[in-house]
Amino acid sequence: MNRVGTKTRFTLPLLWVVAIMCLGLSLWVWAGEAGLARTGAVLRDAPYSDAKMVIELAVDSRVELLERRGAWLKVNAEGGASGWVRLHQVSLGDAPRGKKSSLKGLGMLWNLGQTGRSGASGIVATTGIRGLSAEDLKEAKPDHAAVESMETFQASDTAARRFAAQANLRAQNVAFIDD
Amino acid sequence: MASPVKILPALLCLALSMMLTASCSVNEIDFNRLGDITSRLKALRPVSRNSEVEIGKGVAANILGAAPLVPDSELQAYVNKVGKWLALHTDQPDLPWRFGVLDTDSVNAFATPGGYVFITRGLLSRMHDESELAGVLAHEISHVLERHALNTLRKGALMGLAGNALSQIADDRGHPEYSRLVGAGTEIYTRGLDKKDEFAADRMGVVIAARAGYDPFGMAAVLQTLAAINPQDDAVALMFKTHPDPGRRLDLLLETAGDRLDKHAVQPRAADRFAQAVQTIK
Repeated sequence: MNRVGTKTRFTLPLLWVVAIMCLGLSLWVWAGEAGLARTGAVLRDAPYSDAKMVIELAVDSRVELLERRGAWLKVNAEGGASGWVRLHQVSLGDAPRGKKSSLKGLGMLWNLGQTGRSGASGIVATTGIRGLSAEDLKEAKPDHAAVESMETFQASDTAARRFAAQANLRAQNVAFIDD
Repeated sequence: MASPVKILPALLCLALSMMLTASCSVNEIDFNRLGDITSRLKALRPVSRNSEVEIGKGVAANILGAAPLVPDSELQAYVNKVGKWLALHTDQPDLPWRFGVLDTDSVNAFATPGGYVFITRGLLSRMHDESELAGVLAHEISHVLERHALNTLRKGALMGLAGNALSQIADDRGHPEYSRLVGAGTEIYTRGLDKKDEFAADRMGVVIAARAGYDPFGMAAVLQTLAAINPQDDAVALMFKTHPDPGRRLDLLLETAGDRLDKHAVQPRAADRFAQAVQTIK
């Protein structure tokens, strides 16, 4: 009887496939997402405020988002330059901040980048979504059973620490920011 | 501001001395007036932790009555692990922190007194990585730590209610005033908190996320996403009504943080684990 042997034959290659897919997935996270440069946006060669400037970005010029690190975005600018720009110097989507692009566009871009599909439920409608409204909250009948059910999902301190270790999350000493 | 516990004896002395000088003679101290002053001062006494949790449970029941939990136990467990890990890096790790994903397309997050924290499927599905989830949860955790909702509740509909009276109502679901108290608590989420409470939670949240070892600017990335959504969209109607403009929040957060947190920017974002966990809601 060689059931264990048969399992490992398929498990190992499967693990490699999953690992490669995950790597691909992490690189895809921001891929395909676009934005527009805001006033004063400056492209730098590293994600630091004193890094060398590559170019100043023209207002409303298009940038392609590649990845985020902290408060910096790595982008490809119009004209081919690439570098790092401060997060709030780019507005996401195809309209400048103040003229909002549709949720549909963003939803599709995001899904496209992630899965290559337009989303599990198809195109997301921008109106008629029944959101959680003020009325819904005011008229809600309390669901005490649902509150109790949340106990099932709570994480113990040990489970939380193990979970953190799995992603290399290490506790840091950081001071609060005064206003 | 100095804590009410420290102010109380000083104010009592002040009140007493003012009354002594006001009265005609030392033998005619007005004990009724003294009683009035102390009972008003009692309102400054903090609500007990137990009552805080009871109020929070009541409000959570209303929130869940409006939108149920996403029926995905792995997703719920995942969000609880992120949330609990964050809570361990605060000064109230022992609060009964509970986290839940609400099954609604709308984009929002809520935190009740006592540590019930909710995020909607609509918001979660627009995130890129675990540091963004951590950012939002840390913001909500900050509201709980600073008792923003509880303080708003005490200032509002039940203004003037002394701390111990509030506790009496909160601890007794059968109390005639219980549903009014919980109703007022729920209404806070339809009106929103003070703007400065939101900005304060933004500032505090990024530090909690950094302390928990995450890239601290997940929340900033979420604000950037929110800033690009049409405010007329149904999915964001309540959130935009109850929070300051996300673009303004983002600018303010980055200005205030300066480059203080930049050295933590290389900390993990756990994008892979996040993508696996949220597969079912994308």
